[in-house]
Amino acid sequence: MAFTAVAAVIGAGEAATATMVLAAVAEVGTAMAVVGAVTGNKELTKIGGTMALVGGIGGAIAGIGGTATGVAAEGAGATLKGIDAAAGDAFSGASAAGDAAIANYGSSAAGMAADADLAGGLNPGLDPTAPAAMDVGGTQATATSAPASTSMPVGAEQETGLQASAPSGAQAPDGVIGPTSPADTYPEAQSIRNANSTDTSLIGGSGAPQGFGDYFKSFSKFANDNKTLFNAGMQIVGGAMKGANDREMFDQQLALNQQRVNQTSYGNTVGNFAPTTKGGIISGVRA
Amino acid sequence: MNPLLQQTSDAILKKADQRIVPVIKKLVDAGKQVMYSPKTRGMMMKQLGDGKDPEAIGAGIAKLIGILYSESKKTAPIQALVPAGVLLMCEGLDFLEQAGAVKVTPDFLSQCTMAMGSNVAQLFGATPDRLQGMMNKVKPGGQETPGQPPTAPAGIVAQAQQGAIQ
Repeated sequence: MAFTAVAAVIGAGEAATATMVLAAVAEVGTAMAVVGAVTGNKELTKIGGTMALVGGIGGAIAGIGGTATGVAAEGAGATLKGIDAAAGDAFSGASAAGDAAIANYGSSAAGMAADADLAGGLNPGLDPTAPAAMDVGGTQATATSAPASTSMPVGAEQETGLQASAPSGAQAPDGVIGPTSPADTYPEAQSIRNANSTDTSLIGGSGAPQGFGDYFKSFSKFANDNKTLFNAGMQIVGGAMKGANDREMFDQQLALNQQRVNQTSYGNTVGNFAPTTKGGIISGVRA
Repeated sequence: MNPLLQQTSDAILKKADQRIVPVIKKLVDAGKQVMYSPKTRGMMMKQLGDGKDPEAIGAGIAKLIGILYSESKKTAPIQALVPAGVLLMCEGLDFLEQAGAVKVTPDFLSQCTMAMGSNVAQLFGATPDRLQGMMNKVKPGGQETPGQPPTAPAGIVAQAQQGAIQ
């Protein structure tokens, strides 16, 4: 399964939103910082903290600018109440929907196998520059050239005689993990199948992932190049949080004063009603 | 489970938003089915290789997260996917350790986590180039490249002062 093909599944022909990108950065950073704290790895903690800060501050800046909502900035310790509330709304909706979808996992392992293979093989159609998925079931079909288009030939001829690509969710044939995919029509498919699957440099075309060393090196450079903006963002977030705290204190003070007024206006809350006398109720109250 | 891995799992769950912990656990269950199902086990084992390459393990977990995300029709929140990925990584490392393929040390776990983090971030498009492009858009004036703001023309008083000085 090609990395870029999986990425294409996530993008699905459309650009990932800024919200998703920043949330991913913040969450990955938070997770890395947590693991770094457990393992005692200072580098991991530092990198994780930087990413969490970038994701959080970036989300806060974008949120203030009104261009993104629902970004979880808590990983950076820079949570605005408004963003947090919006994130809560996003959580409840996504959680309910995801729960329903995930509930089907237990009954569709075979479907997942087909989908996993299709996830690697189907989406090169969305990204014509991406090589096809790697063979995960030992198939020996020779790739035939085909134009890179979104309409995949379902009945592509295969030399091994394996069944052509099945629709999503189809049962995988016994002994083969996943059916052959439309990716078999790409000329690069054979070279990818022969490649070492753990060699990430051979996975994907234009979107091949960087090794983690190079990735974090470039990320640190990015954070350093934009430290002025992030410092400004920290000030904005700090000011907003202070403002939110001041407002909350004001509200609490107001509520306390209102309680005091209510108590003094009506006097002792314990009933002063004495047994009724000849004077009537009012005389009894005054007693 | 290895005490280090158990401690990591507990810390991740504790740090996560408690509202979505049930979603995280469901994602972990689904991920385990992908990892251990007879139909997909070979794929995962092939990805993990001999279990000694942190980059391969991190990439494998990232791909697993991608599968879970697509299977959930892109409704699974990232705030649940990433913690679930860490938990699945711990699960996978525990499996490899019990199989005798690897000894999980703090350094090895750290490297696997870094690999997983970088692959997951890149999977969701969080590359430094993209982030720089986003930051350029929110810089003052929305300028693509940082530059000096245009200077305002001198007003009447300033012009008079300049004339007096000259």
